[in-house]
Amino acid sequence: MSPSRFRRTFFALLLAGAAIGPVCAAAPPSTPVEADATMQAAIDTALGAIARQDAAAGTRIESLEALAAGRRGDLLLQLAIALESSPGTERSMAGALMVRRLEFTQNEMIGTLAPRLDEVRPTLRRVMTELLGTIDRHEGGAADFAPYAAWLRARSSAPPPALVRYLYETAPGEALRCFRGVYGGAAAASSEADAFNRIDPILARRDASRALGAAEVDAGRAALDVLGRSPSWWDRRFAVAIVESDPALVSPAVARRLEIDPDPLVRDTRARR
Amino acid sequence: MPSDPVVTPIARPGRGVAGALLAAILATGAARAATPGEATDLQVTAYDPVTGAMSLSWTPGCAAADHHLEYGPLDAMATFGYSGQVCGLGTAGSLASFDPGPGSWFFLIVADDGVGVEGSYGTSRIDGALVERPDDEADPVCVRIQDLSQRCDGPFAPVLDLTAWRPKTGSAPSGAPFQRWPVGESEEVVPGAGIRINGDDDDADGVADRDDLGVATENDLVELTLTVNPPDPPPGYEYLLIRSNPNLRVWDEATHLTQLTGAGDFVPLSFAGPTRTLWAECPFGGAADLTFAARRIATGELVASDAIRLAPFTSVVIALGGESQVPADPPLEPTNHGMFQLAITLYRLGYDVHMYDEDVVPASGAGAAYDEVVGAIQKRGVSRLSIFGYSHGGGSTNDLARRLDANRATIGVFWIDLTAYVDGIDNDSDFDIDTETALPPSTLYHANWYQHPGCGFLQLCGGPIAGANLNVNVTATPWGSSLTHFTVDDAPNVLQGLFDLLVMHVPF
Repeated sequence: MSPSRFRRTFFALLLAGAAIGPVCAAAPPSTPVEADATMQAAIDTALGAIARQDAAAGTRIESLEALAAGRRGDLLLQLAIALESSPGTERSMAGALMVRRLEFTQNEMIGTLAPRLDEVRPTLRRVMTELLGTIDRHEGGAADFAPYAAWLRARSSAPPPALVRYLYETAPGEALRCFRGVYGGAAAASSEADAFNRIDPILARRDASRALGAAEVDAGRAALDVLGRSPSWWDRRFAVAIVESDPALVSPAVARRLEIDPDPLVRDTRARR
Repeated sequence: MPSDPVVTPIARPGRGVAGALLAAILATGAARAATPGEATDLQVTAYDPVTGAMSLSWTPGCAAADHHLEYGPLDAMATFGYSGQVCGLGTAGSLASFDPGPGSWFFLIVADDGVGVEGSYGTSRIDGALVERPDDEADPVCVRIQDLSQRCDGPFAPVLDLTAWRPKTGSAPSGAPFQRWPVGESEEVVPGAGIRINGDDDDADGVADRDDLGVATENDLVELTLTVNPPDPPPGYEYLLIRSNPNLRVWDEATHLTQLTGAGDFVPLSFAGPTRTLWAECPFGGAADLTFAARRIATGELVASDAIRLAPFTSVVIALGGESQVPADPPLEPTNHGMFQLAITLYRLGYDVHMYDEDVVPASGAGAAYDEVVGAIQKRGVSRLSIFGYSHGGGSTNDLARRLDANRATIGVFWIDLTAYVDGIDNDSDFDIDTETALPPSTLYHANWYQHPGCGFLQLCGGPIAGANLNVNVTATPWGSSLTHFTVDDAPNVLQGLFDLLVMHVPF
């Protein structure tokens, strides 16, 4: 493919994706997340009992569950709101104990929190992503985004931008693997897959204790040049994540192109929050 | 030195013998460079035997704005029983008519500043030594307070002080800021104050700060406050800053812009007011003394000085709080936030302490705290390390130590002298409640305080750490049986124990 033909194809794919692709359309807003006074009072009572190591703490949580009457998603959201402005360790860790006690499933967590990440204020979003962190990390902290795949596949609309942002900020490589697996089909373009396989070990080696070598920078830039030109938004979003974390690995030309990427999921970076 | 006293007996018919004591003064005025000197050569130039009035002359004291006369009955001279004053004699050095009245009297001239400060009343020779005569504290007419500390004709003895401050923190990634805290007067030379070697690049412009001019975010210079009275030394004297060797540089600004020290080790100093702020830098390592001094130019004699020793830090201390505890000095909760209380204590004691929200350390161990430690080792000559934390901060202590140990090959040589958990909880997310059970790799000493009252379904518990040098189940102690996860980090026994271990194992 000649360079000019490649560019035409690339931009055609970009525009098509931006116009009609389910991966780029905005999700419809869900019900606003607001505090329920009755449930907040019950949560406060239960959190206080836990923090005091009160023997009645278990009963308080049972009462709370009864109040929720099976609306476990609502209960999870109300708990997130209750912990949004936690004034200290007591309330925060009591909240963590309550979350463990209520045994929310992966589906409950993702189905309740992921679609609402875009509509909430940053402080509440932070609590919600930390809740998601209880289901998307291995022991020791390594990310595992497999739990999101089934939920994303079942959605008819685009992934929530805030979820995309969260996953790429948490673990860019794992995010790319997740979205490629969901939207890329069985056969990812070999050039992009190869590019990722070349840059992934470089990223794994990077550390504040060492500067990247010239060969690593060259190899990283070459790989990100491929990913930054990919017709797939998840590849380009990965490149954006690296622009933010390791700008030396991204050539200025690729960085400029990504700044004006037609897909809002790609442009939705930290600076725009 | 004040002149010897001169006694001038005079006979007044029908009034007995009068005596006159000639005096001189040095007094100190707060707004003056020096205080008045001694008035000398008091003489009775005329005497009217009919009226008993005397005419006097004297040489005015230096730096005097006025003079006054003190007198008293001659039989009270032994105790300097002043009974009267004549004020506002000016600076001409003469008084046309002085008549204390019938009887015998002693009198002397005292220089003053014309406002409220008087100088010396002269000296008396007692047992062969000159002793300052007592001043007139009653002073009912011309009220003056005596100040002999900076007499312009006496030995120049300025009041000067050199204060160093604990290192700056607060700009990323160095952690939360501490309040400015001075190095104690008794600590200025031994053990001295710590200073960071300035090999890092705080403004991230690719130039090491020691080679860079104008570093807006510079945080490795030690603030110095020089205080002096009087700000202007008298002729023949100068103020200067002396360094014992070139290990230190001194700058006019915190931003590493104008260097005072050059090739030599003496820098003359001028003062626009009573204080001046300077900044010390240790560019490449090595200790040195800084001395702020007043010097007699002709002889090189130091007539006053204050010194401080600055030595590079060899260690950094990382303090991590529990979930939702925000590091601050003063602590946001005065009876809570024990890890930050301890951090502040250590900082004031002289350690290079950095306190962080535990979420600064993700499960990977990377982030601002890691960057600070790596920078300290690679750019600031630090090789010793201590990390401690409470609750999730305990988990983050392990995460940070694990990453540091894993990257030893590229970080450089360092030792983790001490790590500590206080009821450590894993910190894979804010909602992680698993007990931290891992020993921080390569720690030379690990201390672990935990509470373990049974640990039911809705309780947080620390636990023993296999391989730890110290495991304390506070629940099994007389002093800690009632502690919970939420109070164990504030327990005095825990904080004192950790403090003692840190001081024992971690050098400055």
